[in-house]
Amino acid sequence: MMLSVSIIQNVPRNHVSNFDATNSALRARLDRFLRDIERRALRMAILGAGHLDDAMELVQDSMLGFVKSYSDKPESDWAPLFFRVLDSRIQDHHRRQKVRGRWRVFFRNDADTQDLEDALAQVPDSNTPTPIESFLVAQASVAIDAALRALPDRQRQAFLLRIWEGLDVADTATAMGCSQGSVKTHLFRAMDALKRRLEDLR
Amino acid sequence: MNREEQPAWLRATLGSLDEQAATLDAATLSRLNRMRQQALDQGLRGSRGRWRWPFAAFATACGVLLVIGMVSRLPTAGLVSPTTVMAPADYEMLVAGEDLELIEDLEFYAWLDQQSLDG
Repeated sequence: MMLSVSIIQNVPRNHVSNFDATNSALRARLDRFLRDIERRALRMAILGAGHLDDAMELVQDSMLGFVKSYSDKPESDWAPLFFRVLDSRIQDHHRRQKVRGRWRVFFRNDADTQDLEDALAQVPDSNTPTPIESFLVAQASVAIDAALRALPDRQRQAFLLRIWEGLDVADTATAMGCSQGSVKTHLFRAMDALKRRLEDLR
Repeated sequence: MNREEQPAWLRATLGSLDEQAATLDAATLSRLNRMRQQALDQGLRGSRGRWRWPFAAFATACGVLLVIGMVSRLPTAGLVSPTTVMAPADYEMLVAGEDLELIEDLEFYAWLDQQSLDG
């Protein structure tokens, strides 16, 4: 009798503690994954949105959307799914910007153009190379940044996801929400355009 | 393709991207950390709450059905409104003309009755 009472009393407690343990383990894995990916995601968002604050907002939305919708998916699928959310947020941002841009045409001023200046200038460099090295690195960095920004959105995303992030073609297609053939086409064009602009870099 | 095998422009591009991602300032890193914790708090709470909605909806539907079932099984025979009880008598009174005359002369008959008792 005592045994059965103790079993009945222990079942809910064990169940709750198992749930909490599973949940905290999931949270730890998600935290590790997001910490690993967040800096590169921010860089992609800056290139896509053009401004640090907008990029931060996009990354935050992406993190929340990813955790809400895909945290129960296998861990191996997390990277393409996270970038799928980020890509979708960046595209939404562009759509909103286009709508705003139509109105701004009538009320254009200098402050608007200053907003579109390079957001990377706000990210300080902790390395301290010599002035000449700094100048060359800065020049190269500016050229690279300009070349990446000059790419159409889809080409830039294909390049960043496939070449920089290292996703395979199938995962890149998942992240971009398009076919593998489209990924190859976008990537080929992106590489061609970057090569033409950056070939002189050493 | 390894980085060493890549053309110089591509190596420089990827190196620049890596460096910019790695050298974020403390304020930006702190913001990223806050954002991540917030996303985990809200996201995991939200995904757990998602499963509560079907159960809550099911429980509400069961409750409503139970109440409807109980109400429809209540005994209705004994519960008749006073108007319904009184209605036939009123109707009869209205239809029978003599009864009305009797009521109108009720005071006269009461007086007559009193007189005969006194007498």
